[in-house]
Order: sequence, then structure tokens, then C-alpha cells
Amino acid sequence: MSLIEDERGRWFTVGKEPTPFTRREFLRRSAITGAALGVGGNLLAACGGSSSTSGQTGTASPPKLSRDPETLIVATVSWSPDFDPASYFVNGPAIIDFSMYEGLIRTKLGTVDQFQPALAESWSSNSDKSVWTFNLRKGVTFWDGTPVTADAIKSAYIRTITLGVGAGSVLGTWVTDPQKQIVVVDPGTLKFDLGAPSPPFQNAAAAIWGTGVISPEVPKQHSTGPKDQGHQWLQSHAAGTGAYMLESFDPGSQAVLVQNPHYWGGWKKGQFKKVIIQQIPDGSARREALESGAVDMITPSSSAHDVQALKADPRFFTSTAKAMYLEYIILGEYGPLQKPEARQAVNYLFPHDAYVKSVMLNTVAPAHGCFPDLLANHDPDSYVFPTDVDKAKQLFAQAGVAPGTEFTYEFYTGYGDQAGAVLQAQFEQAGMKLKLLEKAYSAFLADLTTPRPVNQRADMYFWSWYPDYDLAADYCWPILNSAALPKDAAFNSGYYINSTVTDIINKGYTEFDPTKLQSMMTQLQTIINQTDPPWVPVDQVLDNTVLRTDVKGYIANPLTGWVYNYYPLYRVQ
Amino acid sequence: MGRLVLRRLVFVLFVVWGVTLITFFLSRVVPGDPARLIAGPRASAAALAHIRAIYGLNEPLAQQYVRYMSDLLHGNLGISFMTRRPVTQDLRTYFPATIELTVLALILGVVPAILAAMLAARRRASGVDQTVELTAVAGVSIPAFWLALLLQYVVGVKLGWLPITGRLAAGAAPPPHITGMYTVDGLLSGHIGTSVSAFEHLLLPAIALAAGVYGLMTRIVRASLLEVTGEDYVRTAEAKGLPRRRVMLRHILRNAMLPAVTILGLEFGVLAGGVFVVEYIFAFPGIGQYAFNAFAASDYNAIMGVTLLVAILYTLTNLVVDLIYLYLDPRIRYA
Repeated sequence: MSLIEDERGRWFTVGKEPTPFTRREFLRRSAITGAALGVGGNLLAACGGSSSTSGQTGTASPPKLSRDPETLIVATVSWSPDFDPASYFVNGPAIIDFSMYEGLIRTKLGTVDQFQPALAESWSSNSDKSVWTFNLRKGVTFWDGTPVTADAIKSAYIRTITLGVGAGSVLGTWVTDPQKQIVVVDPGTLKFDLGAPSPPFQNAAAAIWGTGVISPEVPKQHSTGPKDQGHQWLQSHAAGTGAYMLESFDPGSQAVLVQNPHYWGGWKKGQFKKVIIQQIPDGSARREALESGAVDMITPSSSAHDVQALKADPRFFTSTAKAMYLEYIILGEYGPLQKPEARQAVNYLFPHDAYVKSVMLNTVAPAHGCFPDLLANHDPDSYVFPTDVDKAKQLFAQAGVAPGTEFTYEFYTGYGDQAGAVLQAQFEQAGMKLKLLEKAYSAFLADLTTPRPVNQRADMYFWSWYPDYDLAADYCWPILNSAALPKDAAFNSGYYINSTVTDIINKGYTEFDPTKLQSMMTQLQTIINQTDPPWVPVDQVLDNTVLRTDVKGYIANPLTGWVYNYYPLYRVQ
Repeated sequence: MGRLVLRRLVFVLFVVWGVTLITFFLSRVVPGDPARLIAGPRASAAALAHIRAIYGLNEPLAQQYVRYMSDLLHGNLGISFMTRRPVTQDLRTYFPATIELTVLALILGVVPAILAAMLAARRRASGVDQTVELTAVAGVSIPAFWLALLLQYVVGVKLGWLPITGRLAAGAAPPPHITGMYTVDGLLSGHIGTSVSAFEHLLLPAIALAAGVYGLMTRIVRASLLEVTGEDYVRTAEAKGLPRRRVMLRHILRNAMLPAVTILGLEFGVLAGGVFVVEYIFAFPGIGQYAFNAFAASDYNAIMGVTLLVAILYTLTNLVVDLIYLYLDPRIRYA
């Protein structure tokens, strides 16, 4: 069974545990309460205790392994079945699909702007980067034995771009007429003639989304019509070229992948013969499964205490790599926050350092402006508002916001509650009121993307975003462009309209002089970070994936956190 | 009795129709866009429109309802947006899991409860009675989720005696689908190891659920036993010189079970309708998790399927309770 996934690749049924302490603390505190009530106190007190808080991360022997060492077991919040590269556009399916499907090239793990060969052995472009040529790896076949040829890849990409079921927009932004623009030079050479200079095409071609290639046999044998082309079949089957093949899946429980024996990359001793992706929604249960030796690798618990405890446990390795994810509070450019001064005031109120250190226990990184600092053209000198309540009061007054005004802050269950509580306290200090509104994820998402009158909108929303690939314009467009309002089914949910910002975003797709682009994007960041802020940038997310110390080869995926490539992983015994 | 059953079955049809009507329209009034949830936040407006067309979400509501009812009459509950599978297939997977858990929880709760209640009633006001009362109060007082966390941590992690999540060991293939209950299907198909593994995975969540059942049943059965023990027919039976055991089993317990059966029926309905929290903690893929996720995800077809199933389950459970009443007390007549 799949849950519905949020922008962070987390699932709204769980999100962050609402309790600010860990399961063990909970049990210990309960034990104290139980003892006071005379119900089982002694037993419970014996169960308390905490993990080691000392020791170097990842240096001790992991818990005893009493299962097949050649099987990797990954516990995730949830995964969902969708094995069609044309449609999957969220992390739930990608956590399985990323090891099953390949495109022409791939973004190197651990980077956002370096690329490595995949189905293409080499690639090049003409001088203005309007034509891209890919030389295919020889002798590669799909799992079903069909050879990977230029024709097969062309038909797969035409299908992805034209089918219109989700991820086609990633390549479709650059390839508007795939039949014409994708040219088969010969069975081993594929050319993309884009008609205009397109340096970022390389980033798009290496993206996780919409670039996987399916066997041409799928649409031939399993299509129920031109609008399907095998899409329904691919909801329960897979047909790629990747290192791992889908063996079985049981929604709500687990998916099992097995080695593709003919994988072009070959196999070495220690690499996993089988990968099992389990669904364990509760973060503490995932931690316990790891500690008991039942699983090898977990997506992080949403409890900062759990993450911190595992980080300090030398039996495990916690990846602290930064992800290109920004968590932020959308400030509505309407009502009391209509004027930039009022939005600046909210920024002055948010205590960034205290939030990162004391609330999130350094399990997130401080935000350096509205761009994640891994994103292309991030300005290293981005302005960050200091916390200054008096300045905030002054700015509220300048904006004509009367003392005692009540603002509203909306978040979905388990996500954004702590930032809201922190901000609420700050608002009180500034003589204002902040009402926290909790919604179910589906209702929250509908609020963000449904046009509604001003009096039915919240003043603030807690949200997060990451780009499809490393391009500043791609990051900004759906969340800041004036053509990306809720009526356009996009996520400029604060109705932020700044013509200069919109203009720069639009030009950001076509301006490829690096100096000019950097200058434009620096100007844009000055506006959104300081003079006319659309948000309060709250923090930048860290990977926090945890593995047993006997599992090696892990490299975080900063572009799409918690979407793993299992091929490089191996176990040392 | 035949007429009673027939009448109730006809009643079920009306219940089902009423449930479809209310659930169908209510679920669509609640804010939420399934297309957005399916496609993810990054999908374009065109992709959203396409997905709405695929799932018929762009049709007028009345038209959608007529289509749904037409499909329902053919046994088709539609496709779940979450699992991308037919809802009937999902229900066949998740519902037996919860039934298996429910039955074990009831066994673990009811059997000790009856024994403890008999013991307590027999030794009224003794130390034994007080101990039973204490355990019963503890059973009803301790929240299932708290006990679940405790069991998981102590028995699963610290002692390592039982698995803490899932329905089967990681990577283990489920037994061939016969009833959908892995313990039973494992036995029927000769996969004893699978059956044992499934049973081990059931134990902790079942105990977490059983505690409440035990507490409730113990208190009800004990009170009922004490009440029945003072009845004339019990004294008559004892005066006739019937053995104490026979009096207890045939005269006291049988009559004392009447209120307990009502509670048992309700408990079965509650548990089988899905106990989300315990299923969530143990990552147990049962109908509770499925239902919760369906509601949260605006997965209309799944919501309809689960609601229909639970409605039918409650109605049939009540019917079974009434039939058990007839057996336990032949004086009872239903109009």
C-alpha cells in the first residue's frame, strides 16, 4: 500500500512525530508516570535508558547479522508501485525504480552537476549546445533480451514526453517535438537536435525523473491504446536495463529486487544479490529494526532525537550530506503580509540559529538564503536576516500592521509544527498573534494549489522544494514565477508577484553566458533574500540516511534525497 | 431462524446502498485532489488533467456515481490510486491480514479472560479476585499503542524474541493465496515455516490488542457470573446434586456469556474494521493502515471499498451475535 508523498519524499500519514522526544524517552517518561500510578512502573523503568551518546560515528561492529548477508534490506517510510518512467515523479516509486531504469547519462552520486555515462558511453554537443549526440554502449540489452538501440531509446522518450502522465515535462521542456528532434543517426548513435542553445539539456538528460528507458516490447505487447502504451502494465511490472530487476512486490509491505545477471556494469564480490525495500512508516520502528539487525539501512526518522542518537551510535554510519532541499515558510503577498516590510518583519522574527541547534538538534543545516547552497548560481554572500524583534516591530509598523494583529500559519500533520510553534512565540514577543492551523496533507496540498479568495487563505504555509535538476530557473519557476499561481496548478502559493523576479526566472532558461547568468541570479537572490522576500527560508535538509557499518559504498543523492542507487553498495564481512 | 437470516441479508443490501450514497458524495466533498496526489507536486497542469481523465475524475459527480454503482454490481470496486491495483485485490490482501490479527487477539484476550473471571467469581473477595481485578483494570487502562511500543522495544529489540515489524520475514514469499491468512494458508499449502513466521509476526500486535479485550471481558464475565450464580435455576441445579463443574459450565457460564457475546461482537467489529495505530507501529499491512491511508490520500475507490466492507462486516457480525443469542438462550425470539 502506498501512502501519498510530500515534496520531501516523506509521507503525510507519518511526517515528523508530533512528540518532541524519542520512543525511549517516551517509554521512560511513561514508566515514571506508570510508577506514580502504580501500574507497571518497575518493569517500564527497566526498559528505559538511552543509546550511547559517545563514540565516533560508524566505527564499531554493527548488530549481529542472522540473515542472508547477500541481501540488503532497506526500511523506508513508504514506497509505492509505479514502475513507469513516464509517470513516476515522486520519491515513493523512485526508491525502487532508480536501480531498475537507466537513461543515457546520470548525475554522479554525491554531486549535482557532474555526469557519468549510463546507456550512453560518451556524449558531446556542438559549440552552441543546441545539438547533443550520444554514443550508445554496445551489447546492452533490456532484461527481456531486447537490444538497447537508438531506436529503442527514441521510442521510449517519445512515449515519455507525449504520454502526459507525469514526468514527461522534464525532457519535454527541451524536446518539444520528440519525433523530429530526436534523431537516430545509426543503431548506436542518438542525436537531440533542440533547435536552440540548450546547455542545461545535459542536466535534464541526467535527471532521475522522466529519463528511464523501457523496453520497446512493453508498448508493443501490453498497450491498451494510444493513451496507455503499457502504462497500466507498468504499474505492476518493470522492464528496464538497470542493475536490479523487480522480482516481486507486495504494496504496503515490501518490494524485492534481484541482480540483473547481464548488467553491463558487471558484478563484484560483496555486492548485493537481492535488495528488499520494506515499508516501516514509524520512524522509531525503523530505528529499532536497524538496531535489532533486522534491516541494513533506513531512511531517517523524522524525530531529531532519533537521528541524533543514531548519529552518535558507532555501530552505524549516518550520512550527513546536504540535500538540495529547502524548507521554508511561504508568506502570502496579500492581507497583512502584502507589503515587503511586513514579510521582512517575519524574517527578522524567525530565530534561525536557535531553530537549527535547539529544536532540530543540528539534524538540518541553516538556510543560506532562498536558494539551497548546492544549487547552481547560489550566491555565497546571500543575505540572512538576523533575529531582531525590535526591528520586526518597526517594520510591521511601517507596513501598517497594527499591534495585536492575528496571522495564520498552516502546516500539515507532522510537518512544520515545530517551526510554527517557534514563530508563534516570536510573534507574541513582537506583540502579534499567530494562529497555527493543522491540516491533513491532502487538504493542505489542495489549499496550496487551489485558487481561493484572500480571506480563505492562510498568511503562511510551511513547505519545501527542490529542483528536478541543477538549474536555478527550474528551481524557481514553479514556486516564484507569476505564471505559477494556484490557478495554474503550481506552487507560487503566496501569490508572489515581482516582475523582475519573473523576468529573471524566464531568462534563466535561455541565458547561458555564465557571467551574465550569475549576475542575473545574484540580483534575483538579493530581491528574494532581502528586499522583497517571498518566504522565510527555514533550513536546508540533510540526508541523515543510516546504514550498518558493514554496508559500504553509500554515497548520498543530493539532488533527490532518499532515492538510492543500490548498485554501488556492498557488504564487508 | 431462516426468516431472520433472510431478513437481515436483505437489510444488508439497503445498508450497502446507503453507505455507497453517503460515502461517495462525502469523500468527494472533502478538500483534496487525487490527481495531484497521484502525480506529485511537480506534475504539470496538463499531466493532472490527463490523470483525471484516466480515473474518470473529470466527469460530473452524478455520472461518476452511476458508473461506480454499475461497476459495483459487477463486483468491480475500481482501481486504488495508492496501490494502482483493483480495490478488490487490495481488500483480499489486507482484510485477511487484519482478520488473522483480530482472531488471534480475541483468542489471546477472551480465553484468559473467561478463565480469570471464573476464578475470580469462584473466589470472590479473595486475593485471587483482587489480582484478577487488578490485571483487568490494567488491561483496559493501558492504551494499545503504548503497550505496542513497550512490547516492540522490550520483546523485539532488547530480548530479540519476536520480529517487530511486518507480516513475514523480509524476503519470504507469502504462501499461495487460499484464505489470505498467512498462518492458515501456510498450513494448508504445506509451508509450515511460512506459517510459523507469520504467527511470530502476529504475536506482538495481537498481544497489544488483546490486553484491552482481556480487561473488558474479564470484568464483564466476572460480574455476569456473580449475577447468574445467585439465580434460582442455579440453586435448583445445585440442589439436584449436579456436579459443580457441570453447573458452572452448563448453567452459570452459558447464561453469563450473553452480555459478553454482545461485547465480543462489537470488539470483533472494531478490531476487524482495522486498528490503525497498532498496525502502524508494527508496520503490519492490514485494513486499518489501508483505510487510514485511503482517507488521507483521497483515494476514493479505496475509501468506498473499505467502508462497504466494514459496513457489511458490522451488519453480519450483529447477525451472528443474534444467532449466538438464540443458541445460548432459546427463550429469545426476534420479531
